[in-house]
Amino acid sequence: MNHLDRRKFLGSLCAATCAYTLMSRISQAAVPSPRIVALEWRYADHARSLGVTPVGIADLGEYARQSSVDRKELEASGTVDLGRRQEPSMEAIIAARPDLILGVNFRHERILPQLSGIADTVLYKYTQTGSDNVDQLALMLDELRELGEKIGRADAARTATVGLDDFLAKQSKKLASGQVSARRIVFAQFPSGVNNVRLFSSNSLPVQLLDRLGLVNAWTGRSEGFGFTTVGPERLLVLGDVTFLGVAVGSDNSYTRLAKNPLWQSLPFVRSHKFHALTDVVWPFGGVPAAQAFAGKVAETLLPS
Amino acid sequence: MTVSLRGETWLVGRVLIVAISAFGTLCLVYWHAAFGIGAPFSTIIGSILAAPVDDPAGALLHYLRLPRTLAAIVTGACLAAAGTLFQAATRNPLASPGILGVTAGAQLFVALVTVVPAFALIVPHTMAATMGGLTAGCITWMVSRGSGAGPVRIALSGMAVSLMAGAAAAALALLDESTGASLHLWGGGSLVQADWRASIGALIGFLPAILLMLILARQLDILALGDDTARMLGQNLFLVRGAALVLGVWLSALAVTLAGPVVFVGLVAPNLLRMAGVSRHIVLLPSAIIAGIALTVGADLLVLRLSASTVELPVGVPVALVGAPVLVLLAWRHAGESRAVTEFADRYRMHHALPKASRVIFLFVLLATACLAGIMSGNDFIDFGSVGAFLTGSAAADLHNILELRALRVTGSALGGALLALSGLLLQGVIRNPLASPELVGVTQTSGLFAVVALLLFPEYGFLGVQAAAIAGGLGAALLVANLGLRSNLAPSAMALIGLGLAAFAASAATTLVIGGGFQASQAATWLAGSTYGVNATDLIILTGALFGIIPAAYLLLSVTDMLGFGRSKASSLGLNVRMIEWAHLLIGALCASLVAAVFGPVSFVGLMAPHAARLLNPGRQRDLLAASMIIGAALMVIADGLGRTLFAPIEIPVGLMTAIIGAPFILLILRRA
Repeated sequence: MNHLDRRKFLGSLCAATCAYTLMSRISQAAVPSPRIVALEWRYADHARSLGVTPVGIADLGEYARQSSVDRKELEASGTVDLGRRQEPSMEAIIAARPDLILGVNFRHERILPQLSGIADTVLYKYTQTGSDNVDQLALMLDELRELGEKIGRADAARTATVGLDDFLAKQSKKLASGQVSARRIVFAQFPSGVNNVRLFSSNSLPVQLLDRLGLVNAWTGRSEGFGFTTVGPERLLVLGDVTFLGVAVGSDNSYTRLAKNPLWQSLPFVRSHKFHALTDVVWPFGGVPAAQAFAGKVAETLLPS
Repeated sequence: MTVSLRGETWLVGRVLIVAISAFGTLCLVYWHAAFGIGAPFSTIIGSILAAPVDDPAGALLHYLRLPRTLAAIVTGACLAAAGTLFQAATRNPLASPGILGVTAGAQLFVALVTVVPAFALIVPHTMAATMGGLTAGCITWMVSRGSGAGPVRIALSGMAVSLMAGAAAAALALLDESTGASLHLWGGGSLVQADWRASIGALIGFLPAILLMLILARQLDILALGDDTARMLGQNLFLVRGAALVLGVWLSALAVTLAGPVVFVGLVAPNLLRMAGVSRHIVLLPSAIIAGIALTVGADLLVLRLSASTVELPVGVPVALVGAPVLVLLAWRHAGESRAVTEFADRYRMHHALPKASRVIFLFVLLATACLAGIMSGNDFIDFGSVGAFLTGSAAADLHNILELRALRVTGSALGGALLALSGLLLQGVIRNPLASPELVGVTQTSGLFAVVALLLFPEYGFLGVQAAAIAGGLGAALLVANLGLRSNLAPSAMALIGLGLAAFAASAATTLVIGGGFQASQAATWLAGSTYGVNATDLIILTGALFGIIPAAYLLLSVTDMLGFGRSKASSLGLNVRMIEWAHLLIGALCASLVAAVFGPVSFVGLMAPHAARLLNPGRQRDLLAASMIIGAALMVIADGLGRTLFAPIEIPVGLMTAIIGAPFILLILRRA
């Protein structure tokens, strides 16, 4: 019987959505809040931007850490942990009774039939844009807009996007008026347990955000498919006099390893004090809140205090 | 001991060749150091000791490139020396850090130290690697029952230990995605260095080993004459063997800590020289070390060349490209020499452990309990009453969906386990070795490799294409082993060696492809370990159809398997078409295993364990083992899957890793019995 109830509920949700688009003057409170399950963290961000707290998030603990939310608070509002982002627990997903499941192609394509059997499922391209030169910021905002339209909260999506635009414009202005001479910039991630560095290409989400802040990407390497190029430390030497922004993953990563090397001190951008390690947790692949936190952090780092 | 004049000139000639190749290696090392930097000779020599002031090229050389060059040299030297020592101590040309399981053991302990930082405070990485290598080496040695064992037995045991350690390391990586899954730990190895510390540390560890090798060289020559002769010449076999093995483990551990798992060097370098006719260890050891250095430095040179234009590859890729053909050649050569002795150790004890009726009851209770436990446990425990409601169709929708999901996975596991048990029974029958099983003759790994290749090269064919490729791979592996082995009338143990070579190659090739192919670490782990995650009704229909189609054929085959045990000539004098029967065993065995690999991915140890467990319960003819093996295989896989779903819920450990981890104590059990 419950099954039927859910069908009915979904039906009414659909009807409500249609009704909403037809009569857009009705206030948002009329739209019931759908139960959303996010199998990749960006879509948890998206749901929250649209005013919906997800009922389930894969690898909840790490999401809470990356997006600086209190895990206990999330759990108190009814969010459950769904296991790893790769192969999330199907049982936990069913138990969360979702109306909408949000995942990504490269992880969840194989289980799409099962997910669709549980609830309406949308899989996104995420950062896996291959070799095409896709603007990942536009892609992220498109995903937010589509999700907003899907659950009848297009206004909230628009508000969030406009909010991000305003925020970026404000930060950009701040940077322009401040004494920031370093316009040429390289953004990097220091992965865990290896000596390699990931340098982000121009189309990637973090670099697109930097671009909106009026900064110029100085790394022209080819994307390996996720918006970055993996290079050995030797390649850092040829970067020249740029501003280097780095984010570290884990406690034993290529930054903690390389920084001990005296060569590090002789790198042009380290010598001219243009190396900035974003030591706080910064996660540049999320939705609007993560993007805003990232851009804010960058502006704060670059502006002379 | 007098040496003839002819012997001496011969030795001078050898030394000359060693000197020339040493010079060649030196040039290669110089090329590696100077590659892509464009600094003059004097700068390169000058930056060995200190970085030249205000010279970026010199700084790069001193702080990054030269440590990397040294790392390549030390890794190559350690692995080649370790391989030579292992081969001398075991008198087995296939013995090498990779194949004996030492590399995998060292890697597992390093992974443990990395994931649990508290351990790192107590044990430094090198110590952990040595301990892991020693543990794995000892287990291999015990399982193969030491020096009395033939090369096949040692190699198969080592492979089993490798599988176990590898599975445990992969499970650790899955539990801690952000710190544990670093490619360095279970990838193809990397020589990129952050400073001098690691390479110099490894070099300091290597230097005393040179002295020990000089002392051991003569004793190893004597050991090569055979145990009896060596004993007559007054050698303490235990001491010499033990020293060589411990030294080999120490050297492998140094290499693993420095560069991660780089396989094949320890296998290829000494064997190339042995093929060239070098046999005395005083020459063999240094020349193998030089060859190992040349191989590693050359491989890393290729990595440098490629990383200038594209991505940074693991150094294991070019090494594997050279190593794989040599491995097959070795297995082939050794196969030709090996004695036609069967190793099937199980004597038929004609007493029954249990009367037949209680046996049947026991088996069905075992399977029923396993299935029920599998249905009840998972992310949430579901009580007996709700399961009953599900069976009568009156459960609530969510509960119904969850239980339906579990039922699919439990049924899938049971079918897969039964098929794997069948595969193990058939392969053990034809290869006549208690350690023969689909994963130890290369069927499982080749299936996995083909699946990964299909996934990377032909993604447009989707999951069906991957499954077809997996089946083709498994059957192809069996065809290759059968073609090389049966055509030339090789002993069963020789066929096992070819299969083993294939397994080692396919496993490292798949790992390399997964990492080189731009998968993320967690994605890769999914493809390298079999799991019942996402199994659907179509898969179950395929498995059921296959199982019930194969059972009658297997029953017919197994009724003549025992006659193969008498040896080929006796069997054919009994009127059997031996060739045909052996082919059928291999192909049907491979078909079962590759079907499972196609649906779940590589799952190891069930095919090995189930027939043995059945034999414990009811020693008798192969045919009588059929039903018992299948039921036990099914129960084992259901239990492993259930544990994997429950232990760390909502995080799941794939069934392929769980079976390998559960398999560890079982190996020791076989050891005690045999």
